[in-house]
Amino acid sequence: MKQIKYNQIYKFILVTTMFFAVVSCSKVNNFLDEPPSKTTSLVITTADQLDALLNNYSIFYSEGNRTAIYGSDDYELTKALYDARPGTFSSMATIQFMLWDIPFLPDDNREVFWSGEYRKIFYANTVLDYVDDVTGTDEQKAALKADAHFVRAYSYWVLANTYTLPYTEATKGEVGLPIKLSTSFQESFARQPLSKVYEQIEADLAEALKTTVPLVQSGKARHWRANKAAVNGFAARYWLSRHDYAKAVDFANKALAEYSVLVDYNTEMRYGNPQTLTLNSGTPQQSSFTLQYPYTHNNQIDFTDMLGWKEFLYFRLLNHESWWYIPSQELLNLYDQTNDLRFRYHIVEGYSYDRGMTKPSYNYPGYIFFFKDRVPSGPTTAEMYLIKAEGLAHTNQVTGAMDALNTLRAKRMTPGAWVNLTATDKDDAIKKVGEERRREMPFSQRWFDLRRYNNNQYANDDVNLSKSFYPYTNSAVQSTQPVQNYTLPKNSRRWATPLPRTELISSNGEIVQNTY
Amino acid sequence: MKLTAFRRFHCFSWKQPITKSLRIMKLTTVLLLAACLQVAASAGGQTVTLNVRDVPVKKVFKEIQRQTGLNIFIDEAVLSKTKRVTLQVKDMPVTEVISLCLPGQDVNSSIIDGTIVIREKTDADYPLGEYQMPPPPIDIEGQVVNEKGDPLEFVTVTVKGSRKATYTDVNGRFSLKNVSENAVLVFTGVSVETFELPVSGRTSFAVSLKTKVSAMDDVTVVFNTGFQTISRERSTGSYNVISKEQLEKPSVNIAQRIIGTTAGVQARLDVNGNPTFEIRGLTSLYANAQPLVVVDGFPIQGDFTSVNPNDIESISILKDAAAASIWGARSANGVIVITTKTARKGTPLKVEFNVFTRIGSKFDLDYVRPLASSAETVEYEKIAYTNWRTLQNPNSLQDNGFSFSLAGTALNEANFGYITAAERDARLEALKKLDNRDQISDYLLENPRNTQYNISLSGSSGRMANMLSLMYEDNQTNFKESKSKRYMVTYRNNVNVFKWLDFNVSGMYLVNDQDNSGVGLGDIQGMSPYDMLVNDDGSLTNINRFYWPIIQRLVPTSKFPYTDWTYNPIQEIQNRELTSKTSIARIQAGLTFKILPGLSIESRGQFENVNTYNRGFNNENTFQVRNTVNQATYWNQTVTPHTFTLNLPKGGMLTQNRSEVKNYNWRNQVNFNRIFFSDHEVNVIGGAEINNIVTETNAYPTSYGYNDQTLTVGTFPNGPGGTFFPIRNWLGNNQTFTYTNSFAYRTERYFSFFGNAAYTFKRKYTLSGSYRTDASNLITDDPDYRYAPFWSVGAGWQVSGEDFMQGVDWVDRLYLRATYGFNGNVDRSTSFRPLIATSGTPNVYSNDFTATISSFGNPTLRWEKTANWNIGVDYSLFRNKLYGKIDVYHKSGRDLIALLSIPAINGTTSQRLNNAAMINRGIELELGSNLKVNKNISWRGNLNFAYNHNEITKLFVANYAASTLYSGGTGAYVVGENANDIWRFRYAGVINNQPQVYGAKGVTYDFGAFTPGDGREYMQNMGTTVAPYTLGFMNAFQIYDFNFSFIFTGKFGHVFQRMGFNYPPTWTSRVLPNSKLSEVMNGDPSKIVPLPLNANEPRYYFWDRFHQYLDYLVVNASHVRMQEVNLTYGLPRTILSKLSMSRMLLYVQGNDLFTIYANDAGEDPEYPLGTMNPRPRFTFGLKCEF
Repeated sequence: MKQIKYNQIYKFILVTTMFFAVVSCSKVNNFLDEPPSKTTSLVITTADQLDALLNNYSIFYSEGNRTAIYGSDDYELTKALYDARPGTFSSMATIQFMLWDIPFLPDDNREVFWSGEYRKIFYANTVLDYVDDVTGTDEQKAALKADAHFVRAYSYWVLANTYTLPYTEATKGEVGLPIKLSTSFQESFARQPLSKVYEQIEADLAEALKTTVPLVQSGKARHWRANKAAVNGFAARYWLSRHDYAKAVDFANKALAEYSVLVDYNTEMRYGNPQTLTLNSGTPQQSSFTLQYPYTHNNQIDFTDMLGWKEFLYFRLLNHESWWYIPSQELLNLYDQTNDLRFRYHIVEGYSYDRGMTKPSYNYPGYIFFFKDRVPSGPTTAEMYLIKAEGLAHTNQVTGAMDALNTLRAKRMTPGAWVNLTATDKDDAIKKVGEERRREMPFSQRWFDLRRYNNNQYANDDVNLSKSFYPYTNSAVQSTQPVQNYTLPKNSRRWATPLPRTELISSNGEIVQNTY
Repeated sequence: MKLTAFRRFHCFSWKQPITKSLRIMKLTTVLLLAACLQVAASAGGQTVTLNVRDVPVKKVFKEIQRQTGLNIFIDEAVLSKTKRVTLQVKDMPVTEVISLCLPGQDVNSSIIDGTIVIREKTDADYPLGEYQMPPPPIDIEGQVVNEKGDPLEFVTVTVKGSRKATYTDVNGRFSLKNVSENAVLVFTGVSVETFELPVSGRTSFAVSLKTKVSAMDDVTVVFNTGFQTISRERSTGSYNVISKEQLEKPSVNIAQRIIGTTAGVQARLDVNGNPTFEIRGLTSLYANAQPLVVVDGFPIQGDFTSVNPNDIESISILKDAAAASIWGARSANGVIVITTKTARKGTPLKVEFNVFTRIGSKFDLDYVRPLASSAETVEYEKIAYTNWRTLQNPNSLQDNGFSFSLAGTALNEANFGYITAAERDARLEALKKLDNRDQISDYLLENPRNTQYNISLSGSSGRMANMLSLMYEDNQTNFKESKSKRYMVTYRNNVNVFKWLDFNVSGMYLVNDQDNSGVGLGDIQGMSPYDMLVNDDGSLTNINRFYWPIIQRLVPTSKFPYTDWTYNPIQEIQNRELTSKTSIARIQAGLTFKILPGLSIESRGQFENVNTYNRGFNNENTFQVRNTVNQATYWNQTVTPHTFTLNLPKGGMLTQNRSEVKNYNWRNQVNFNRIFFSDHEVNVIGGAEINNIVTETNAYPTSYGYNDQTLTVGTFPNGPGGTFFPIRNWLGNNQTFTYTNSFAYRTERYFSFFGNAAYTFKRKYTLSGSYRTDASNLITDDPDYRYAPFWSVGAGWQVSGEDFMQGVDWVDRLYLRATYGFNGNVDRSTSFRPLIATSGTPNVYSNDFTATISSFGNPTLRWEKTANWNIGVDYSLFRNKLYGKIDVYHKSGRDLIALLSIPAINGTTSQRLNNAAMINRGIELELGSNLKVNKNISWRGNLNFAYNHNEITKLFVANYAASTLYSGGTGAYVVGENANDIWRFRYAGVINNQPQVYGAKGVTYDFGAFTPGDGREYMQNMGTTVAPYTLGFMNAFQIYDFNFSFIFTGKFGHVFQRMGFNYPPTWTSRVLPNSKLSEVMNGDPSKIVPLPLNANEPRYYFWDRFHQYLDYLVVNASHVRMQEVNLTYGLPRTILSKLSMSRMLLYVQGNDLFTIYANDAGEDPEYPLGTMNPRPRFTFGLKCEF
């Protein structure tokens, strides 16, 4: 009797257990398919998620390109300025980038530009990897594809113009960049020939140009995303860099047709919060000095003014970690210091005091746009007028060139006879456009301009750079030694900045250094 | 101490087994009385002296038992026929006395192995007159308990001379089939004295066994893995069990009881007594490194605080693969298994009441806030202001945030001519004479106090056992207005529904109400030593948060919403309620089907719910509110008259967030325990479980203009700001406000199969193996990757059971064991492919939703695995004078997740990849000893020692910046080094008036800029910050009714950074030189960084990247801590019986009384200067049982 009862129970349990086992086996994978989080660690499944990735302008806007900041003749740290307070210039990267260093720069450990641009490329590749598999409308997917191709074209272009030699017939086969077109870590790390890099940029640009997204939507200029004005604006910049002036003008016109708003410095620019500093305190010369900044200086973290700047076709800012764009005397001399409002607002007098040079005081200006560290570097309406002017000048359309130039100048100068420039001939026009370009976009475009000036068919604009400064080691400026002359001739191989050494190590040597 | 405690306990509860047996065990034909007595090796010559008149025989037996120490084992049939007796004997042999007690009964009393067995004469007792047919075999069953009536598990019951054997289950029950009526049962167990019992035709037995003296130190001799209990003699793994007496001492957090008891478990307590543990070294580089905590078979989400410290039955610590691998993927850091008390079957109502209060001294401000004196501070500020300062003109509104000290303000004001030099000097002199320590102590600090009440009721009737406990705790932290209350209810119920079905259910509910309104240590440390809190007239001072003269001169405060812009911490803590409420509910239920002898199926489930609600309310008297509202007001200075636009409503501010964790487990398990042919013991479990943990969090936006009385809130008068609707603040800058909720939802799921088998041959040779596979809801394209097989094998050899050891009588026990296997760890944040994280709220400027790449992909994704071998010896020597164990282990972690360097062209310079390896190896020794001076005085000691060596054996990081290395933590993981090592600059003395450190190739660098290159090449590895050598030393003395015990812990061979001078420049806030100022002033600049030697030191503010990371600040961290001293007085039986209590203890305990350090700095390495250090605390308490 007892035995039977046990058996019954046993059977009941066995059957039940088996039933649960079978049910659970088929359900286990469903059970485990639940994503770990609803907001983090998400697998990409929708086009909206890809949109959100590209909306994240904090990933894309910043360009910490120290080659551009320090390398051109817009930047000048003179012996006198250095001697006034060496402590202000304690970062060796300042000296090394300024003097086109080769041996020490690879070990600089604050590199963010190379890695930052490749991060943007990764985001773009993520979008391109997933866009065909996610849910979303065809229209949305087309816009995403164009946007991602645009991000990639832009980044490869700035990388190529920083880390490789200028692209010419002669340099076609030179070492270019590693080309990453997917999110896989298995893709080759090897640097592709320069010609392949430019083919890739053009291919991406061609895809980007398919965009139908307008810059202004519902009254808001959404310049942090790819749009027709941005893509055409960048195409204009690209073809200018390739010396194809007709295409450059064509794309500049297309961009301007989409959006042509300029900020009128006469009515829309103003001073922001002043800063008062004490000079030579505790000495008989103690005095006060008040710095006047443009209002765009006010906010470091708040993006209201940066995103609110009306001239952006595409939102990119050059970012200077050491907070002082030191304008060269040559650059300062280019401005009409009385009537050029760019000088009045962006060249901040006594900025050296803010950088600590107060005891003993040493007065030198700084170029200030957004806060102390950022200046516009993405295509703007102003740049379009300048590209148009340059293209027209090179194709001998002097009047058209000057008209384009003066359209911009009218928004930058106080009203008067000095606003409208005229040119006597093609060379004069090219010269005047070049000067205006420097005044309008110092630091952000000058390095790229010098590279193309030195490699186009037009010899008059060539620039051989030279700077004089103390000798230095990897850790210190030898300020007890006599000043030396440093040069960067037009055909130097140093127009390609050395790659960070960590890349060579991390890739097990698959990524090679530039040869000099 | 254990011995004595046990004896006493036994002596007043001894009669319970009798009454119980008489009342309940109607089928019992044999009654065994067991007494707790000294070893009675030979009982034959024992005599008794009696003088009784008309007393029950039972009482006589009790007295005999007391005098002789013999167990008395009497047939119920005999006992039932006894009458009252009157006896007067002196030194009469025991057997004779017994026959006097049983006049007229034909009994046979014999002494077997320390027990007198009295039974009716049976046929077996007569010589065989003729050939008899052997009686038919019978089935027998029974229960084995100890002196206290607690069921004994894993007692082997063997039929003498046959291969038939079994062992007892968790309820102490056993059964055997087909046993001869005349067989003799032999009961053997690790912790009990071997006992033989003739069956004599009976079928039901209640057996009470005597605890072995040698086992009294390890009352719990079974290890609980959370899935099963394993007896010590059949375990191959490395386990530790916390002794019961250790668990009984008062504690707020049960985890405190583990400290110092277990070799290889390194614990660190914060100032409030909450611990962090590291078992056998760091096992994971990036994954969670905390051990898994299991309560009653299931991992819990709430931490140790969700367990009532009074409810703990046992704690097992599982250290090696064989012990822990049954927990699979979450076991690499070790497992702590807590078992809570249950009511024993057949026990009448038992009430335990416990109350204690613990009080500590207030913080020593010179330790937790080690600032220079007021006079020193003022003198230093004078130099710092003149020479090394940021140069601000107090005329500029933009400089309002320079919250200079009173001295700094006076210096600055005088410099700019707002006050005269004389006035400045007068102010400075006055400040030098002030000292705020007493005011801080009086107004902001409190004596930490803790009072706990606990009552538990347990008992059973028939087939149901219940236990209920209620706890209330009241805590006061070191800071005024910061306190908490904890309420806890626990209920457990076990029902034997049918013979073949057990049901149990338990529940726990905890509410913890915390009030954190008090100041933090940072608030105290941020004040100048002369910043008084209260003026002489009793009014509150202004501990300025601004450059105050700017506010006074330039800001029309009367036009702002709040005119008062002052700050005072006393006002702040009185006008805010920062609370955190946690409630935890846990319900567990299980069914056990007993199908066949030794075979059972269990189905158990647990549901847990943890709710946390944090609420911060500041009313409008707080600086927090006044300042926020004022600063948000747009002060338009470009129009005349100026306009003031309110951007936030006036009134209180409320911040809230909630989180909820829901966790369920469901486990089905088959258990099989059998002994075949007496020599073959098999123990198998197998099963499957699922686990689902959901965590939801929700943060609310700050409610502005909140009124706690009317529950009304304000709105943003001009919107929340942003690119398209910008609003400005008082300084004209743009501002935005968060106005949305934010949510998070995480799910953690596991599905596991597990199995564990052990086979023991001849009770000497054991083989064990376990297997487990854990699948988690990690993100993968291939579901196979989710399954992580973990396995272990082990072997044990009871050497002392071998014949060749029988002659070695100084060895009581010698057991060798060895295991090998894998433990795991899971990181579910990566996947083969990129993953993203999305923002819950639109970007405030662009109004777009955004996302970021959260993982760039992990093509190497797999489970972290730690291969783990362990070899151990358990020993007991010299009649248990010396006992303990030795373990040697080697843990080798592979496929560990680490942040590895990859080329930046992959989108990131480093990515979490399963590509690092690390080893931990070590040795653990435990040594215990018992010394009994006489009946009333005894000593027991326990010493444990552990050594651990940790080394990262594989990790690729391309370059280590100096700042990454000195910052420590995950960034300072270096291949070939201990994961806990710290790196420091080598100080190179002063060159050109600048202090220097050594860089690569002997080049020196000053403190003005970061050093270049790879820090590994020129920085000094100072050693590990986690002690490689740890020591625990427990001592217990039993002196009559007093019990005195203490615990020392020691940690050796590691380093810590002592406090150095902080070199404060005059910058944007108060200049607060610390108490090491004189060390620097009097120091040798070639050995210690001096104050700046140049009158003008422009980069002085940059020095903090160096002066905190110099080699000479790292010193020996070895120390010995007096963890605990306890004195307990147990009321003697005579008094207790009058109070009708079974036990009452009064105790006083001291914790953290003192620490002996190896460093000269006078700092406690675990709580260095400037951090909150536990002060001596005293506990007074009372525990009683009815």
